[in-house]
Amino acid sequence: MIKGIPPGFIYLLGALLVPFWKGRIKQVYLLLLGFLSLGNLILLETGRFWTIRFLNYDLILLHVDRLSMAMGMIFIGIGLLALLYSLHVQEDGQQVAALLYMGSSLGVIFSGDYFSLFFFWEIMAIASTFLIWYRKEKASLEAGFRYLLMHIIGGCILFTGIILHVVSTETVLLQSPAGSLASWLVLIGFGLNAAFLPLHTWLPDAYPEGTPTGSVFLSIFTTKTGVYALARCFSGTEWVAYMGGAMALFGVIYALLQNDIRRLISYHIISQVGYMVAGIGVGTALSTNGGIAHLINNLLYKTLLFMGMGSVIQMTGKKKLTELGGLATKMPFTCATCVIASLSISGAPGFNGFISKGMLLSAMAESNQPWLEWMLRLASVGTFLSFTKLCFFTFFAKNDRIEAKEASLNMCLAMVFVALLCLTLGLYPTILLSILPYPSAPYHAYTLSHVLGVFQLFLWTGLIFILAKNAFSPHAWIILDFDYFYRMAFKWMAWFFKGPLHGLRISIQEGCSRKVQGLIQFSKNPLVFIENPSKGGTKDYDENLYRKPMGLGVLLAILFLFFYSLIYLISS
Amino acid sequence: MKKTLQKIFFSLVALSVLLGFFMEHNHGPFWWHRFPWLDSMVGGMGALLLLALKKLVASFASKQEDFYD
Repeated sequence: MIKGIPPGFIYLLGALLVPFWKGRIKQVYLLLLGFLSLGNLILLETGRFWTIRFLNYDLILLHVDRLSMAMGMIFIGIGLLALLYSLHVQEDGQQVAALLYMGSSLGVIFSGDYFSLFFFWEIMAIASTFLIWYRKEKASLEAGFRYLLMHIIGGCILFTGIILHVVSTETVLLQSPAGSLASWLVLIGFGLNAAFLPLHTWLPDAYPEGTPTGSVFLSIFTTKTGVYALARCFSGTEWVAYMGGAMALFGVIYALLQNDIRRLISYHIISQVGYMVAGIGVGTALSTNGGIAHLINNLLYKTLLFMGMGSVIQMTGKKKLTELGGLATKMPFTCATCVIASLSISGAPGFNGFISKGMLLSAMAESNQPWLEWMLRLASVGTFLSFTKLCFFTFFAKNDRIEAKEASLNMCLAMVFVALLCLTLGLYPTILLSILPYPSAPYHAYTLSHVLGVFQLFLWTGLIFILAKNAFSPHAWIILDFDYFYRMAFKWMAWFFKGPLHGLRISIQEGCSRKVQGLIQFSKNPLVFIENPSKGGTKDYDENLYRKPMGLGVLLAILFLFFYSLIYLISS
Repeated sequence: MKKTLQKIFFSLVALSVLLGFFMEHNHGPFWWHRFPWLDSMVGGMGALLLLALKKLVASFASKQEDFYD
């Protein structure tokens, strides 16, 4: 019986054939890969399969349990819709990069050991960089390099942690790392992908610079694999929970300040990932379920938001709130789907975010975490404010100068599908609850107090927005983040390398050159040093200068023979 | 149309205050969960607090768009 293959392999191998197809056949091929992967997922059984021997360790390429199945299901499902959204893309390279990125992300999810996880982790970092570079603008090229640099540093830290863990435990199995140093290094490596503060700067820097379709893929995989890895290895770590709370608050404050629409959403990724990290950090059955449910929901509405904003950028050529407005009548499908996504991310009743946010807040209260509860409550207010601002200034604010038409059919179809999924999971939460890692943690989302509470929160937050609309209006500025310090540090490093360190190198080089020159002179005429060591050798060796008369040599040879014969005769 | 929408919105805000009396938080171990207008307060006060934080961050971190160029 066929038991399925590692789902990532379908995309990784499928990517190699993309350049051979053209036009409609290529579009059908891409969708077919998605459906094939989905079909393969159904065949998977719980357990560990596809074990290969490497350096005396057993590497597990297919580890299936409830957590990896839930992640795999949403990755493949939303990946299929992202492929549908990007069908119009002509560049083979961009589609190859997207497939490699999807395949390696699935590789991480189904890895049962640290080595194969790390292998796929690095492919993911490299493939995703191309989705930024394919925009082919100076800003995206630079942002791509910064993204790659951060992920290479993160990869090195992670690998060091893995090696320390493997050396101390003699196993490569994916589990909580042993030893405090190994544990911290692995946590930093995973945390960089999950956008821990202050390692998050690659995210709002790179995601807005990707291609419109590339940013959709980027918003799906990198941070979520980080959260998955944290759920595998650091569930129940209190420090991680507070990091999640801080991320949730930091993300919304910075999102409120943004003018670039995709940067605004990028900061919300940090905030929403913060919710998930907080849930995983608390580590109870309900909070972990909440974290994973929020991950699934977030994938849907965040992808929808990136799709919507990608369409806006593609159709208007503008990406700043100060330049947008009045698109509700010109792009009604995009507007409607973005409003659905905004209500979902804000946690409105009837939408998927309502379920997972409620789970997380209940879990914080039940596990006696008042500070975390307040952090997440405040982040909810900020989320609603940000998306009211985003939708208002993109679609409803007055702007007579803007020219636009509705996005292409494949883009609209993908957006409608994702919007329907947001509504379906919101209205029928049992679908979502049935796939979560802990089936024994019951949760009832639609209680009267919860529904009325959310309405109260929205109404009063909305009231403040209406009364202080000018204070929330966008400005043509950029807001410095922690990357300012990294850029300054690199600037100082560059100055140090170019100035003092370069000067030191030159002086050492000149000193060594002088010594070598002296050695060359010495080797050319060592006798000068013997005759007059204080002056040193300045003259080259001249054999005629030191040559003795031939008779002297003959005399010495005769004398040597005489004394040799004499000694020989005496001794015999 | 705009005025009608505004009237409906403000009526709902007022209604939400009344609804606070009928609310019961069944998953609240902390004292503030029994407060009838908790979510209204969180919404209103939270939005003002975030607005203040936004202004504070903007005061030292906002720069011209070509700052890094």
